[in-house]
Amino acid sequence: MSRYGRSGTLVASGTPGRSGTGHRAGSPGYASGLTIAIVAGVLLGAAIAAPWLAPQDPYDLASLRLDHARLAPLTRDEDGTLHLLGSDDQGRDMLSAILYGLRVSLGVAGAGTALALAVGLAAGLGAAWRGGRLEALIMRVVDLQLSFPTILVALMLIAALGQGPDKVIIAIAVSQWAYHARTVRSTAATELRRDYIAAARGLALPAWRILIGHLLPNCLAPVVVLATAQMAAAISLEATLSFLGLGVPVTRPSLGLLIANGAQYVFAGQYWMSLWPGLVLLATIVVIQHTGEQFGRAVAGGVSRR
Amino acid sequence: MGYSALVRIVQSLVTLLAMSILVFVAVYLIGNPIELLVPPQASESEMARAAQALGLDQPLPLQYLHFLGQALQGDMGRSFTSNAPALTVILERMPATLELAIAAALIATGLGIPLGLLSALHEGSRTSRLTLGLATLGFAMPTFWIALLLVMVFSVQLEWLPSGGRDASGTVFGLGTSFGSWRGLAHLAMPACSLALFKLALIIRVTHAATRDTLRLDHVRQAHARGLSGVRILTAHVLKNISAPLLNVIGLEFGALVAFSVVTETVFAWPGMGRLLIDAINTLDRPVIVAYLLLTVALFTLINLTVDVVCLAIDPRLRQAPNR
Repeated sequence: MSRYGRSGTLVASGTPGRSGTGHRAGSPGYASGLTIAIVAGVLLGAAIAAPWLAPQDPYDLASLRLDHARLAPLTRDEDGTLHLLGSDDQGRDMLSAILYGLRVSLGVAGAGTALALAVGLAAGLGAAWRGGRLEALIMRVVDLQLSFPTILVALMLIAALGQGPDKVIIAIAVSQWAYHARTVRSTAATELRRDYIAAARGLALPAWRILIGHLLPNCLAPVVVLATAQMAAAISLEATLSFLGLGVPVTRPSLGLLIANGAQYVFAGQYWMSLWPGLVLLATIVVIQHTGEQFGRAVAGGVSRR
Repeated sequence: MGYSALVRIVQSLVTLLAMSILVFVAVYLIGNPIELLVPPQASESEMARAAQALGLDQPLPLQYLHFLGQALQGDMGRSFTSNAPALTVILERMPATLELAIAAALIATGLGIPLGLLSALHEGSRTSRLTLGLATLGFAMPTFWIALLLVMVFSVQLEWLPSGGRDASGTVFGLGTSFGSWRGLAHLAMPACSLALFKLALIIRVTHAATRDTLRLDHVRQAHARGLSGVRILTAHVLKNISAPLLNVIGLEFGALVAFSVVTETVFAWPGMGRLLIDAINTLDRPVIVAYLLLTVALFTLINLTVDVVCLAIDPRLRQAPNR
């Protein structure tokens, strides 16, 4: 048996989603939990404390000087300010721009994921609770949407709504709610058959109390796992839309837009404008995905013990 | 089998119709294109005439019916910007995009399936862990950023590959394509690789997980007990079992490759239909946006349908219970 690898850990047959979020056990421990936690802490701390950490306010257009544009990393401008990571084509200090950009990226993706989660929870719980036609309708829409890639759904929305951070949040929510709805519905359908629901019904509790007080908390675990994975996908989606020039405005760039701004100078060998924000973006996504997988394993353990 | 296939075909048609309504309504809600097309000093009556000429003064349902009737005849309106038929504009760009997507799919499956199989067969070994680790990284890397990294290394530093554009001067069977010449392939290499990376990571993970689960099944263990050779077990017992889920993923992901080429085409100035869509969105060129979305949706539906039918054909288990 051992020649087939480790003996199988029982894993909740969650959603083998298109984005491959259902992956588990076999993934390598290339980074220990501690490193991941530290990186996550640093990234989150940096995003929150950006206004205090950043050497320059990249949103203060008056302070930007074009003669300080495109300085290489570790050079000083004429005023003697050190640009640790260089500066971009607007004369923005890269480090400051990245700190603020991380804020924008996390904020937009977080809001989008939260909205998707809320809509997905409502739709999934509603479908499982009411059943019948409503359930059939919701699940048909979910299936339909999941057969198209998120980027296409997002592009369609941006084409319809226009650009801007709020539109990106909506695009993220609309392209992701279906994943949550599907997971919540299948979990809720199982939970609804359990004794505690029957007991709550026996006590003649109002429907909303059973739904929110009893059903919802017991459906949360798999959804939290999914939401973490979707957060990583949302960051990537926001970055992609912004890179295409369809996302956040140029005056308040996210990581994706910073990479796009620097892209034209890559051909001239001025790599830093795209490389640094890209590394931060990659680190953010890896950390969140890894956290999601850890959550997934923890939840799977909990389920198999039942 | 015949009945199940028929059901899928009808479902696909309904999907197409629903999506055409969605696309039409969504796109026709955006700003007034007349303001873009008519000079700002134009009078009210001139604006009204332009709207009439474009059919924009009709109520939405009528516009939709008209649009659907025309679309079924292959007429999706004229591009507001170039005045050429929208469908022609897109079909001209389609070969470049399909070429890119096919090349990426070949890379992703050609490397992904063997790597996934190997990493599952040698579960826990150093190579297996390295492969899966790289797959995790590839999974996290945004397509556009990996594209820029490739340019930094192979165009700017090493100067091995051209940083953009397409060379379709070589021909295969009389068709101009990048596959026809070394120069063409050199232009294709980086776009295809960057587009393939995410799918490669995905296919490695799917193949790995499916193989690992299959290896644990009783019939495979029994095959080992019967003393069958490793190759025989792999081809007859493992590959056969993982082919249906794998095919599903590959089919779906091919469509995603076409959609995602929007990003790659932007970085590498690849003259495909994805770049066209971005330009159309920026100029509010509605016929082109609608035609692109409808064409992509149709392509998707066709791929999904084909995959479903092929899966029905190769996996008898699916024919028994049509609902699950």
